[in-house]
Amino acid sequence: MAGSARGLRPTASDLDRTAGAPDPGTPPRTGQRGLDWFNFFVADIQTGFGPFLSVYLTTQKWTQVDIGLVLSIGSIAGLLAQVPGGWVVDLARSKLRAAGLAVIAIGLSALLIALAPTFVTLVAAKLLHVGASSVLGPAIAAITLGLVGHAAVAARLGRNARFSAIGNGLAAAVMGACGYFISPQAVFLVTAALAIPAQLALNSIPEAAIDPVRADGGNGTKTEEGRHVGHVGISSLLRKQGLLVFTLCILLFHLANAAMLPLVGSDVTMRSSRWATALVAACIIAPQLVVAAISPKVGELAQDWGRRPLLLIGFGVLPLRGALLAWTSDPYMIVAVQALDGLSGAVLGVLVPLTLADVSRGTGRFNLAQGIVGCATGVGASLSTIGAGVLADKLGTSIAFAGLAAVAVLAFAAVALLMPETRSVPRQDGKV
Amino acid sequence: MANFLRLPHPVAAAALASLIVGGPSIAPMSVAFAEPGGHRERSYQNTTAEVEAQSATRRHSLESVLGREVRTRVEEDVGRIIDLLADRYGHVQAAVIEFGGFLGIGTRKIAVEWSALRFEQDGRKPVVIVELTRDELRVAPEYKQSEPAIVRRASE
Repeated sequence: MAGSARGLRPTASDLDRTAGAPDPGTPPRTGQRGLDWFNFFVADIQTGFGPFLSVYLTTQKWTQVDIGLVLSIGSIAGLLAQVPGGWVVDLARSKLRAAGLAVIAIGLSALLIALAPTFVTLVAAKLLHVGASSVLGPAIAAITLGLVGHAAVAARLGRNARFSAIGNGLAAAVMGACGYFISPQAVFLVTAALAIPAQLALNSIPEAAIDPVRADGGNGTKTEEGRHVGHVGISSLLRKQGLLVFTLCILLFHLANAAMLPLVGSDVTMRSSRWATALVAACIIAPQLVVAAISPKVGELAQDWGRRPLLLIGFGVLPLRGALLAWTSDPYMIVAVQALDGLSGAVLGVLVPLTLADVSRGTGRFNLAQGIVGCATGVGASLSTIGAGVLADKLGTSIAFAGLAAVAVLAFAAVALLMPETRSVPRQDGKV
Repeated sequence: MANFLRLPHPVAAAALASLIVGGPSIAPMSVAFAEPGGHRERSYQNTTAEVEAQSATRRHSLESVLGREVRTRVEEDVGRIIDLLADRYGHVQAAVIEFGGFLGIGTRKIAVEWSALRFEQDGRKPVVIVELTRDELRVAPEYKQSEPAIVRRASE
């Protein structure tokens, strides 16, 4: 997979060279490769912490009330941690070390969950996990921006999205099999063990390759007196054109999107007899394959066409998916429709950090901006599962999908009517 | 979506309410069952404290129920017991089974009549057999905590 990734973006390495020429710290090849693997392993270690956690706790003879309580504490803490997490990454002198500490914390959390599944340790493990994740997400984007700079970041984010999608898809398959054939506990032991290769991948990125000012969106330029552009105040970040609108768009997107997969899953479980488990697995893995296939192209096009056309495609697919899910009841058709999720997934995976890099450029608050949007993502996703759950209970699954599709139309309209183009200067010769 | 694994669990909504209303709850508990109307046979001949203590307790080969894997007659894994439902006399009437799904996504909760479950041994491993087919289970009405349970009876 390493070879194919290199072949797919010949222009990006050209870009690195041209953009890096006047700049100290041209990204070395090892840094790029290390970042590929880091994205891959981080996606792996996040897999077990999702809905699978409640399956595991059930096997540990936990009651439903306790499981629900731990998960709620986790999701509320997760929402609250996003903004401080981004803020911390902006302040961290070494983004690599911030990411490294977060990976260690996640590994430790998995170990606690596997070895001592009591209520107190689980709350501690969950808090450790959400805290670390709120740092890790922005830190990966910061490392990326610090490594390649604004000029080449679109292509590099496409490559990030590819590797994390491969990690997600593979981990879902492997961990699903592991939980089924070995034991649910084994999933968390494997997760803890995978923190080691994640750390090794991170270590292979040279500290010198990451420009800490560029990594915060301080755009790498200096003032006339030779000082770096520092961190602007939070209020002036919020006044940046497009940030709040984009946050609203992302909130609406997840409000429409997050409940679709769980609803699809239980629908398939009810409708398909023999192949239900395999079909649910396909619903999870198929979109990841699509993301892996197309996200480098998405990164490339975002640079050529600008951000708006791609955002419109990614947001435009969602109402279509909701409508098709409301209409169809054939399990195989449902899997096919789910693959559309890969299209929005690739667009969001690349365009969220990219748009934020655009908007926060020159503020030194790239990671805080990511924290704000991360919080909006969490709020949208939580409300989505709650709202769609109520709709599905009272009025049926089809109506729930239709409701989600209606919200998706709203999200699309928000992008179409309110969201400005954020690509700063049209590309002419590989430089921005 | 790249971040599908971070979705909040559907239980979270219900638990949010318990977070506000309920007090702190006690961590993992297992539920074991004695035969109905457990016998406490007192021996009136021996009245020493030791004997009394012995007769007040009994040794059973009881198995914990929560989290136990459930199979159908044809050996398929169909899910796990995640809760028990008792009537107002404390008699267990149904078990809630979490059915299907992959990595915790796409599971359905189904209440199954207690008498539709058989507790058997597969070698040394205790197994729970449900007297229903997979197809009967998958279309059974979903169990919801907030509503009166609709219990699936054994097929006969």
